[in-house]
Amino acid sequence: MAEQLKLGFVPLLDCAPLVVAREQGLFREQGLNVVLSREASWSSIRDKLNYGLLDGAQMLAPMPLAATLGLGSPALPSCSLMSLSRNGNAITCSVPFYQRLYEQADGETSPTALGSALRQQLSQLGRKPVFATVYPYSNHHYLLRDWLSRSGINPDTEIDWRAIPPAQMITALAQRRIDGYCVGEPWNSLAVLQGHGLIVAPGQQLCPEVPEKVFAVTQAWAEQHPESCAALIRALYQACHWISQCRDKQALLELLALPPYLDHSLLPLLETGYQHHWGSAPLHQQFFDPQMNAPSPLQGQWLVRQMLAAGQLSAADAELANRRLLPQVFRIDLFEQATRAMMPQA
Amino acid sequence: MTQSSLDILLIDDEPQRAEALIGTLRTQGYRVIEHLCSTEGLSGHVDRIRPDIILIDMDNPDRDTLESMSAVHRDHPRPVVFFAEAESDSQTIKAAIQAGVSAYIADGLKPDRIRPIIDSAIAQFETYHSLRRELEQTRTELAGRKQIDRAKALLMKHQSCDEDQAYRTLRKLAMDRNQKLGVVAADVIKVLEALA
Repeated sequence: MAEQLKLGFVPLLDCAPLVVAREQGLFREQGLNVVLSREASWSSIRDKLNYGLLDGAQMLAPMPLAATLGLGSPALPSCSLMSLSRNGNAITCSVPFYQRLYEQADGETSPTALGSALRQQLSQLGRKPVFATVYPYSNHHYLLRDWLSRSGINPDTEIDWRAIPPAQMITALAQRRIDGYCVGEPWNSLAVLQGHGLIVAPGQQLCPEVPEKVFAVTQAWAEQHPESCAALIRALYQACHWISQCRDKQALLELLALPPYLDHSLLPLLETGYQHHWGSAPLHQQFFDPQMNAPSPLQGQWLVRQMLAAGQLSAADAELANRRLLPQVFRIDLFEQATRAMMPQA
Repeated sequence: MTQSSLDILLIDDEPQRAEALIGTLRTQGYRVIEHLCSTEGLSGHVDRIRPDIILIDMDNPDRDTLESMSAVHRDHPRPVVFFAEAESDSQTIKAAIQAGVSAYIADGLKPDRIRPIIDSAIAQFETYHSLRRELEQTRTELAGRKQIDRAKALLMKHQSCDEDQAYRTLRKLAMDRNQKLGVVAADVIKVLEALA
């Protein structure tokens, strides 16, 4: 039996490639012996990679770069072996707050119209709008900032920011502690189903091409385990393809609902089927697209721009990243080597 | 080391473990100002009580919340020490401590284990602060130097003198008024710009 690999995931819908690779035996086919470890936070995933408690993990797309640069933590040179998903994030507002924007926008529901409505409401609100995200180095955070900026709102001075774990977002919304948030699925659909929130903008209407989650290891681990890296990439790539071919979303949800994956949090989605919404376009979470799955430094350049705009990166660090770090962090070379012989049909 | 001046906030949802840990910390002379079981509204809470050190379980979902807060409020760095359960062996703990800001306390209720870990967190806290202070000082000095250059330039123009002469004038003013060169430079700029 091969040496056991421990891979971390955070219970969100987009951990699906890891779950499918394990449950459908795709890791095993590649000669890998994998256990999946459910983790409570992104910080914990990063630290456990650092301390060798995890071999690899699902990560937010900006995290390998942030960790390599030592943003918010001791520097940990990390790399993305593959991008796993996109279009699974959305901006959701509480029902009363959404209604406010909806009326201001004369019944229009496009992200642009609702954004302008928010700008017009700023002076009438009597306070700053309160928005929450989970983690500073995340596409959720950048997506929300981007929507606000495009609506003519200064995210640094005109918004009151909160940080809340995904599973607590809906409660915070229901208790009116926040007006809205940007988070990954299922926490947008669930808010809609439970009657606490309405989706203002799904991620794909704002930044459709951007991968949200990646599979990452430390650069040292990649160096020491080239064969395992290739096998992991192949298994996960097949899993992404499997999901794209899976006509029966219910079957996929049932797989994800297994403990310890997402378990009971998914039950409302299982009961009603996975669809919605009032007004907004439905979410189109996507796992398979060779262009997207390949972790290209171009994806990294987009992230560097977002980090700069969010004030997380100095101009000097941005230059360092663009000139030197991106090829070390986004290992398109390893991805292409590993998948050259397989290439499932798109 | 003056641990008593550092305030510790403990976040742990296991009451028994928390109680034992608080007891140990207190016998070691640390001040636990608050213990939170549930972390609802954590950020508001931390803003209010401003602890120096936050002890939080490695596997607490609010760790991301704390990291978000330190990303937003860079002025209030508070090192976070984590204690994890059985999965960490001593090798891991050592690696964790060497890795930087965070530290583990596995089976952490033994006083002799806690002390070095908190001390190391405090040492990191102090190193970080002294680094920040140095950085601040360098910044101030840089700003001061720019002001001095600007003041010199204005003096040279105003008094039609060379650079050495202008610098001597500034230094003399500073000595006469028993003020720092930067302060005098700022005054000179203000006056000369008002005249211009």
